Amino acid sequence: MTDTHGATHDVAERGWWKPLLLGLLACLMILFGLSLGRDSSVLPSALVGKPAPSFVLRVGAARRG
Amino acid sequence: MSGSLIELGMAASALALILSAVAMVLALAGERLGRPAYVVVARHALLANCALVTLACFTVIWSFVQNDFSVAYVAQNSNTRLPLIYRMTALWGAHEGSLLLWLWFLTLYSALAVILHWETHPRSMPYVIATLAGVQLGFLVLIVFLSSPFTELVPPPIEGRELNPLLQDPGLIIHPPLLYLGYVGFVVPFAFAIAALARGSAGVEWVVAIRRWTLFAWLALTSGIMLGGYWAYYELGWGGYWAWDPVENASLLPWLTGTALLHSVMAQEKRNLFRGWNTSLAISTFALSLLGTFLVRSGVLTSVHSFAVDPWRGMYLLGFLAVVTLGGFGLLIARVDTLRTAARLDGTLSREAALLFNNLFLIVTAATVFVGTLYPLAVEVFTGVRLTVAAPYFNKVVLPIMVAIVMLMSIGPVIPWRKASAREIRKFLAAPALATTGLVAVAVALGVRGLVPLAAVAGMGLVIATIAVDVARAVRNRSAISGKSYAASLLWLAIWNRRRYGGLIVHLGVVIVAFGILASGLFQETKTVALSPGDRFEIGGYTLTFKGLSSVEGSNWTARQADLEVRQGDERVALIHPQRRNYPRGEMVTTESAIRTTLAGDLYVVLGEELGDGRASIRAYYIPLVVWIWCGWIVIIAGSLFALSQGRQQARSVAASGNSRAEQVS
Repeated sequence: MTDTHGATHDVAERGWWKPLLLGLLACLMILFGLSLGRDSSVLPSALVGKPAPSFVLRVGAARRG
Repeated sequence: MSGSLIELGMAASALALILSAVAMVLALAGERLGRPAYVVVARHALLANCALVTLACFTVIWSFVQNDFSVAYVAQNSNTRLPLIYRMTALWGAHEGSLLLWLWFLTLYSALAVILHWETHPRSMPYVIATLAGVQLGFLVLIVFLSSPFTELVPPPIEGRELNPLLQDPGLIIHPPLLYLGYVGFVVPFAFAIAALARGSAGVEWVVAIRRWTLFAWLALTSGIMLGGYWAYYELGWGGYWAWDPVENASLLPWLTGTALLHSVMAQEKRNLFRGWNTSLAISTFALSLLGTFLVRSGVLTSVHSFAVDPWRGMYLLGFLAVVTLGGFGLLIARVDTLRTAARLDGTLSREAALLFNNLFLIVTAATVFVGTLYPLAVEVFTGVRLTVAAPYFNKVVLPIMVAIVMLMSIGPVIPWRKASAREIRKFLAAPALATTGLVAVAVALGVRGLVPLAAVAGMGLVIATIAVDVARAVRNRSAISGKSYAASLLWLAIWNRRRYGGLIVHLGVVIVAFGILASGLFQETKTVALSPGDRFEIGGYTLTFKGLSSVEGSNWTARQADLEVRQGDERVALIHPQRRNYPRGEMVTTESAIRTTLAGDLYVVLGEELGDGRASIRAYYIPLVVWIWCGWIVIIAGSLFALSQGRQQARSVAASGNSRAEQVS
């Protein structure tokens, strides 16, 4: 049997969750604040700025289907 | 004349801003100073705001109808060739108008809440009015100073630009309003939660008050999300309906917490349990609705839904979000002592324990989606690297939890309150479990493989079977007592307890949606072909013959279309025309897929590039049973409306008994 009254009381008595909750929310707001001003419509290319992979062209006969 | 009309809209908004500030101050002052007359004035101010913002909306819509390009918002989002229906709905075609629509719904909800609860919840009213007025104030400041749709252009252009072509679609006429109706609807539960905390009386009264508001907002949000999925399915041309895009996820978050709230309030109503949990859910759900608005409107997330970036607007929205979130949770923390209750969870085999697990799964899902959505943001802020979290993460993590929720849906509604014996539950579940085993065997025979899909099939079977057994038992008992037929007994039971039976119908709808998602995902076929006129190919039991390309024209677009004959066996069943449309004013090309829908599956065809000499590339999908997703949505709507129709009389009597109980335990 679980005593939710006791559980609530214990949690309330401990009180550690209060600054934790407010701290988490504040961190989230700071994260959003730091993210403002970027242009989200620009998607970074996966290729620009990266070296092209090395490859060797094989010489052979082409097939026609 | 037009200029003065839009100025009237601006003046109405400015006056509404002042009145919302007045309402907030007077409601709080009336409560603190014991002056009921102040609260009455605050109430009138909120009612007046509804009329003023309605007027402001009308001025913008009328400017669109009249092609008044002296209004900058109209000039940017409309032109004379745009069909009238899209000119009327262009109000929510871009940022400023969308926020005005948000505000309009907010004032409508506020007016309705103070009218409907003025007599039933007089002690909560000052705080409810102050909260609603405060939220209105926040949005009015944004609209009047930072995102005004009333700005005029001097001199006005002769012709306007273009409404985003993707929005020129019937689905988009009602998708945004439904979504906003859902988002904004959670403001009423939020206001009552704040009132309960401020009064130090978070008993049963406030959850009785919010029950139908929460259900209505949930229904609107569900419909908005489903309609958005349906629109994406037929308009975007990629054969899917949900892409785990950050903005889609942002709408899912309040839906998940709102669903949790909808269930957990029952435990408080019946047993006075989960008081703190319910207030935190009401605050979280509205905060997540605001978060969704912030994410879309500030441009912090990379998404197909992103709007133009405006740091000031984003900064303001962030500040507003911070005030609501930190203020709400701050009040919760300050008043945590008033949330204590003597009620106990009597056992793990009970309805309330099932609701607890339901909430746990929903919140874990919400946390998973939240982390997946915001992780790229955190990585970019701290490392500068841009990345996206894509569908595989969400499918792997979220889908198993959703399957667990479906499993829980089977036992949750039928298990008794307080405590049930394991023997009773085993006895009850025997027949449903047998039926489910048979269903899983059929699924294996049809080719379904993998733990998660088979568990989903089992969960769906179990839900349907338990509902059937439970309803059959109730009907039999009722028939034995009343001596009436089974049909008459079922009707009597359903009408007598519309809330319960509406809920069961919603659960059936969810199962149908899950069935459509599972089947359409598992058995989908795709083909990409290059065709010359006369060429044919087969997919999903259909034979498609390419007849050639042709040109068509609409009022504000031109298109190239492929003409394809569809045969099933020897019978010609349809002639379909996938298009690529060009909107010259907006310099944009859209894909119009051609879909042939049957209950068995959709034939979905998209026109790709023209390859010269009359050749074209065609991409075709056969998506089995996808229509069941939309059918399930209709069942969900029907069930929700049925539950909503439960009269207020019963709620009032529960509220009356709850008042005294709340005062005893506070």
